[in-house]
Amino acid sequence: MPQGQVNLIRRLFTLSLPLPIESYRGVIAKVKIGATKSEGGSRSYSTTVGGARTLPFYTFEGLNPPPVLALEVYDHLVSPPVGVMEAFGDVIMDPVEWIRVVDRFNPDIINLNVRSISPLTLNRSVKDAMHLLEEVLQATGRPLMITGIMDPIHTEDISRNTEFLKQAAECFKGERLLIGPVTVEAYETVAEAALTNGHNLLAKSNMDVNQAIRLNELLSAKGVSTDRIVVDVTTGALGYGIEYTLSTMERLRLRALQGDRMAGSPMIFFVSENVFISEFREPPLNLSIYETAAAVAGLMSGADLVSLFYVESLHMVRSLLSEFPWGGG
Amino acid sequence: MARSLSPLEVYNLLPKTNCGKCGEANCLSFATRLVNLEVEIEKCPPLVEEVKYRENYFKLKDLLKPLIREVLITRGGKAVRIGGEYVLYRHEFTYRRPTAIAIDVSDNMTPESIIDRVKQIESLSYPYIGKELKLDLIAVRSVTGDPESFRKAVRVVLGSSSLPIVLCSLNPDVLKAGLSEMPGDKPLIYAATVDNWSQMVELALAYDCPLVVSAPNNPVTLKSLVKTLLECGLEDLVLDPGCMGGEGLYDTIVNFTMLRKAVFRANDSLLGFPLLGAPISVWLENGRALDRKWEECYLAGMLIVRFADVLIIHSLDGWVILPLLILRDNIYTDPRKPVSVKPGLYKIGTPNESSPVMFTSNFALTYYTVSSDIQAAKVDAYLIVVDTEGLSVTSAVAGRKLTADKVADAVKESGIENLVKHRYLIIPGRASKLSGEIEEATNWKVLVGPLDSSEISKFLSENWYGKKLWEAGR
Repeated sequence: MPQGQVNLIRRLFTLSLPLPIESYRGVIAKVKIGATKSEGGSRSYSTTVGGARTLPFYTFEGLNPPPVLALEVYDHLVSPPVGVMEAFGDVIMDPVEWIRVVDRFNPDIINLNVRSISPLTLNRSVKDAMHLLEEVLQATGRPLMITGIMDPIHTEDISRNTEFLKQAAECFKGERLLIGPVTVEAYETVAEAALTNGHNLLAKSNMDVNQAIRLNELLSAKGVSTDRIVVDVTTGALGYGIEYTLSTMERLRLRALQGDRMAGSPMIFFVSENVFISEFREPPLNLSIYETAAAVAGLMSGADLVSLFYVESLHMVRSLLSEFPWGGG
Repeated sequence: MARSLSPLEVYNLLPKTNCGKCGEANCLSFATRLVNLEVEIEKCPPLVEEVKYRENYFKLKDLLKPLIREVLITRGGKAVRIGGEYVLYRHEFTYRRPTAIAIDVSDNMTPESIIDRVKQIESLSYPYIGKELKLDLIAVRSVTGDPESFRKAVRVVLGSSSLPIVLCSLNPDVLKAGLSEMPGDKPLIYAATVDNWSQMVELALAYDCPLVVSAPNNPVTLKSLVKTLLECGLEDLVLDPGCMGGEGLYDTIVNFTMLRKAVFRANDSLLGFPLLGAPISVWLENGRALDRKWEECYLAGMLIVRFADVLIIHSLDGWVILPLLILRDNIYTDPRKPVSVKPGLYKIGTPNESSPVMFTSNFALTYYTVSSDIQAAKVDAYLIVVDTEGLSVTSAVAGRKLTADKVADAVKESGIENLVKHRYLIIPGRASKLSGEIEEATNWKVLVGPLDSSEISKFLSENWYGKKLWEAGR
């Protein structure tokens, strides 16, 4: 045996690798979405988002609960992304049928985005939107997330979005929906309605940790606790500013784990943004793998809930998550 | 360098003469730039040249060293830098050396197919916000185990490409055949293991090349090997903690995370080397090629986010590679600076002499939004990006970073005057209060565009195509 090898064996015995384990003071709040019959709603089950005790995929430090996966349905698509017609067919023209299709693929949650209420697009009335919601609740027993105008910048959009969310909260009292978005500019009316009627809020802010915390403080002053809020700091798709989202999520999560309670709501990542990109058409892009790559980056940055567009992405993300051990939180 | 390093600590080791030879006003501002890694310590001539500062020079060198060693893989004039990282999380400072991506060729391929593949690797390129996203390395793998076949494959690659190389074999004789073909270059050698390390050390020393240390799913052995190799006199090491998809995915991510965290949170300097991941390993499993490609893509994506400094990949399809190149670019963007795009003229679609001309800020998110809204509107247009120092239009107007003079300069420099026959400039709605000044400074007629770029489509059909303004000239 050469001398070097003897030397090596001795070293293998002498060197050790202490695990770089950090312990955290904070824990992420658990937000329960969906109420069953016995709980005063009509959902067949409920889902819990949040409960993380360490950073994502730092399993040597502790086991987090598994992330929750949502599939999205839109009540109106101006121009469907490439491959959507092939993937879903005509049903994308009919949100209720679309939800029935999506339901079969087993998402934990379904997100219905009622974007047509925007006065700047179809200007659908809130009353009509409520009829749609009624049908949707019939069409699926899964916990629901109901979103309105995702970027309420114009005054008209802000007031329409508020009106829509308030009505939804009242009409579907007790369903424990996740409704939003509410923003720093417009949150009070919807917060009150959610509190009174037992729903959760989607709190949206832009690429700023302090703004996200500020909104949680404002909501908490209204009586909405962190376990009733899901934070959204999504700013852009892969190639369109995703790095802002990733770093903001990472910083927010660290703040929460270090003990800042107002940073301690679970986070959602709207991966679906990635299917509406208009560049990178050459070579033919596979948008579901593009969405999967973005989802993976979001999950590794701390997303507790990811909202996906393609069924293939849901399968792929779910299968890769199944390779990891998860805890109960 | 710990990120808590303050400019004052650095300043105290500088000559403190404010001689100005570095180009800075004084030593303190040089110290600040050093801490921000904007300049190299060697820019201070007295420190390097004068004996009395020698001790401080070495102290500073050490103080400013990245916790992850920077390793160079070179070929001819080309160098790929990996590692050189200072932080665990991107937001603590910035990530510095983008994950290098190597695509494999193997020595059982015919010369023709090697050349084909090498050409594909080298020509793969996507334009993205003013840069070209490209692959970095070619990994030549020995699958025959025969030194002569390996030598031939390396020769073919060298003859058909200029990219730096990774030489892959666990057999030292095979590697030697490859190494002897490329004197003067520094390919990355893959890899030293518990079984072959002493011969690998000899090779790495003889050819003065960086060496990968491999201990699949065994970080303790990995660390022991590193210690041994450092004792042997090697410095440029790269760590391979093992990379597996499927059931091995969990261990893979844990190992990458743990190793990097050990450096930054437990001061384990023995592990302060670049990390190598080989998502190519998913191809060892059976099953459909399509599934392997998906798996390779998301595994590589996870590793780009989670600390990998170099990756070896097999898939070469655009739909696998493109998301990875973009993800890498995004993650390695400096978060300390506003993300901006290069100022200048951007063509959207195929504009001609009667196409509309617009301008916007160089804040990247503004640019992306505006350009994708123009694309969505399916119009051909010229978009002039004005240097607003990375601020959005609203902030830039308020902060006087967007002024009529700046717009006028941008219009002039863009050469747009020779590209269109009209003289109409569509300005962002949020810059409307500058419209008069812009008309005066540019001598172009100003049309105030919408407040939100999502309305560009509507705006153009009403105000541009509806009125056919270009026909009137101006």
